[in-house]
Amino acid sequence: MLLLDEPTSVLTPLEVERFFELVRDLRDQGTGIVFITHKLGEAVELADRVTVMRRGKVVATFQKDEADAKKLAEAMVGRELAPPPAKTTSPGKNVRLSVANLSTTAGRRLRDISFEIRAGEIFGIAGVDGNGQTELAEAVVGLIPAQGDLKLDGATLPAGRKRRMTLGIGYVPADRRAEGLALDLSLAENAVLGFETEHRRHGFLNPRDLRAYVGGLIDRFDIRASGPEATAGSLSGGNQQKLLFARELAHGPKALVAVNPTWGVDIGAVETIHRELLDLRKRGAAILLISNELDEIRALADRFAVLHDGRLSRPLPPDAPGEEVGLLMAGAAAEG
Amino acid sequence: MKNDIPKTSSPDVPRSAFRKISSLIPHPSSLLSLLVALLASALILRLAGYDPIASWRVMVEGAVGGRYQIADTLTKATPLILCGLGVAIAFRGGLFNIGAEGQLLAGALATAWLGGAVAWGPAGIPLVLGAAFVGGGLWGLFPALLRTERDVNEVISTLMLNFVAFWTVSWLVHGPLQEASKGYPQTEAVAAGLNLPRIWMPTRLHAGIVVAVVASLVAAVWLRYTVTGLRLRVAGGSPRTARTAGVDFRRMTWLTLFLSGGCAGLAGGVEVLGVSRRLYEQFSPGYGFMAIAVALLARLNPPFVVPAAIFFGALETGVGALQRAAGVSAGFAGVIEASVILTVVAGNAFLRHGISRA
Repeated sequence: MLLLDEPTSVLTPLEVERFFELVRDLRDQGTGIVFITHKLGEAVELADRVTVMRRGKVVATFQKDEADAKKLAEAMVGRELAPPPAKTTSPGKNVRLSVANLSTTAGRRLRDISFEIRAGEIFGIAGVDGNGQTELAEAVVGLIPAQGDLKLDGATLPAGRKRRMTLGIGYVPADRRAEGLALDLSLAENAVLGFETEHRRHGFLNPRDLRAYVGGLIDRFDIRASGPEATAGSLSGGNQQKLLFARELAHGPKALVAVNPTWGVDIGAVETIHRELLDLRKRGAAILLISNELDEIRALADRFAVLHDGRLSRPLPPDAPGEEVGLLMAGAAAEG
Repeated sequence: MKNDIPKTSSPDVPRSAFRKISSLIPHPSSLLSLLVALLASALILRLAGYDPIASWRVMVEGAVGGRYQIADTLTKATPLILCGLGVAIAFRGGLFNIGAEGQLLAGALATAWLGGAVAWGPAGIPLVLGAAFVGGGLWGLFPALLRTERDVNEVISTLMLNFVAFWTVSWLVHGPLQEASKGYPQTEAVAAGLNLPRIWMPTRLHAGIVVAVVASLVAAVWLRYTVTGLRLRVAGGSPRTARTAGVDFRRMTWLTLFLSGGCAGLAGGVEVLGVSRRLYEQFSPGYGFMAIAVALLARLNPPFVVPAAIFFGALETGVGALQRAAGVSAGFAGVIEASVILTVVAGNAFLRHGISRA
């Protein structure tokens, strides 16, 4: 009997295939295997039986032949899914965010990373976790020092998180509980974190103003909470993530850096977050989408590159062949 | 750094509703822990051969049995409120300030020196108390600088600075600042115009209690409704989130320990103007240390610091009465007091964790 809990989150696509063979071998030798995953494709491909849980309860069980990704997704949310949002605009011509020869010495070293994101473009960064994603995100938003040239709308960005925040660089960090939100604080307080001065009146944060403000966000982002005074820690993961997005998007970023934006959230929240990201794109922001979910990058990004060992590959189209991407993720030298 | 994302599989377990309720009504477990403390003190009294019920009666009557007793309790609660606020602010900001005792002495020194240097009228009171705040604040700023510039743990530095403050005061009252008559190791009395008014004649209760209660309300509003107060709470409760939100930790550390030390310093200033009129060696019976228990009992919540400090003030006067009653030594009275403090603090923590785990 073997229990596997999200075993593929740190594997490249190629490694996943080999890992699946291993799991199948074990099964054929008589091992009972419980495979917990949020990736529907994996469940469909691998499992002989798939059970869907929602809010701690079993809601459906499918045999191998009757399971497909759409059915599983609908069982997970308990309703029919809206079709995935389509991009109705193409990126503009002007470069919004440009990164040239970015290098860091702290943590996983970033080496000479360059890319440009145009207004209204989503630029994806794919790769296996731990190859410099955190460092890249933190260097761009101003949390760690870095060499290189960072420009927003042609102007060099000053150092430091606070100043870049004021200039309109939004950030959705990977770990919403430890880095994004203050779990002890109310929704209303979390909704203004970092932007407090914009909500100050006569020197004070008026609780009535904050409640009204977060009330609007609760509606727009469909955040399920007992009220604006509930603590952020009392929300489910999906609702915490929606709250985090609500805060960043409501303050009108010119550029947004989002790391694993839908990690560990329910499908309903995924829909909301993807919709809002595309909406932000339509409004002309530059979006740096760093994700370990290749499917997510393919679905949202206009172009993407692969990060491996602190180096970035050349940009690829969203429909780049899987083998090429897999090789880049495993460390094959980027051509061209 | 391999951990780009948290690796736990279910990171989104909703916290129990208890957390939320407890922040609004922080006291059921605190009250329970007081009960436990009473039982513990009964046990100790019984083991030492005293009658617990009779002893309790002596203590309760000594603490709240009449207006003089109540006034005495409130007078002792005054520095405890201010020091407790200082400790609560620092802890809320994630900094463990164990140095309220030294900061209190720094404030008392500023007031005693400045108050004796000029023939002040009553208009000098705010100024002299302001000096006490700044004096305590600077004594708190020092460990803050050690922390941000040299990465010295503030628990150690604030604790050690208590002894520095104590011996500095001792040297000053034996030397440079000793009264002109050289009769006792103490400073000259502050100017007569600096009397804090008595507010409950004929008892000795002075206006310091009003200063302390107002300070607790200001601290509560400041923490809850100002940008800096909000950022302090985030820095203390969720430091990595504060970093992402652009909080400047260096400046926040300085500000937190300055304000924290300032409150304790104000306690010293108020004590000089309202009670002692001057500074001497055994100026504080450990208010700054007891303040840690006060702040914890109040769950670091400024408005609740007031009742928590009154409880400890009552304990202090009650134990004093027990000591005066036949047959209870000063040392044993101290044991009772310490055991109550310990049970309150430990019991509070234990009960809270016990309940939130359920």
